[in-house]
Amino acid sequence: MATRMVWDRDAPETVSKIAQPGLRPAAEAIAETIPNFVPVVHGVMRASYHPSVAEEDDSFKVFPGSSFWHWMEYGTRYNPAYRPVQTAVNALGLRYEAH
Amino acid sequence: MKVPPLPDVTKLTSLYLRSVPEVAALVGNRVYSVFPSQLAPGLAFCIVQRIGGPPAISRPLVVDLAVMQLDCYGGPQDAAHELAATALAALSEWEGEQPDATGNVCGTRIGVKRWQPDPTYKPPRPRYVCDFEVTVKPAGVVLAGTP
Repeated sequence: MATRMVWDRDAPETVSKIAQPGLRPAAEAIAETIPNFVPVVHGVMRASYHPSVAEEDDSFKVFPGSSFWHWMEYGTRYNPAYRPVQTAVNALGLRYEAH
Repeated sequence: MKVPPLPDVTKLTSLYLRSVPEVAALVGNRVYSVFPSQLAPGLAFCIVQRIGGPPAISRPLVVDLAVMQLDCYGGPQDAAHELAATALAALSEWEGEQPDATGNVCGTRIGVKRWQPDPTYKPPRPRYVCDFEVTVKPAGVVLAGTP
């Protein structure tokens, strides 16, 4: 039997609606995972991370909650780029896209 | 071992950037893979680091996809930007067998470029942080359907 495909004008909205319930769990999982990828010597840097999740109109934002997150993420003259945020996202099987 | 080991993409990248005349005109040989211990203030330089990237296939382990970070430090901001733009332009054209059979670059994909001064200098030192990906295979490996 032949299958007839019909274009649905509301497809993008429908897909977004279907995905909406999964956004908060994904954001919370990212927030919980980020500190696990912060390198530890004395634990000071890891302790500075207090990740939080903020809900917006159609998305969720995850904040690393550290004043030094960019030191770890992009590196400085004293440390390489450990990228804990990017690594946490990848470790959860999600795709990291930088903008 | 039936397959040759995957190339060191960090080493390949730093060797390549040093060989590009436009990049060498800006930084000379100052393309590093670790932070130089002593460097005169105001000198422009690059640091290449691998920050991740899984191999495209695990078996046979013959194609690697390296996610790389390029730090371009300048004296002033415009020097850092010129260095970043020049290095990325060179990387976008990078492909083919590398000298001394060190590896074969299949292609590159250029990612984001961020203005991220290094805050551990006082005042913060101008720096652009650039992401790019390199797909490589060992020298001499021939895959069906690839050049």
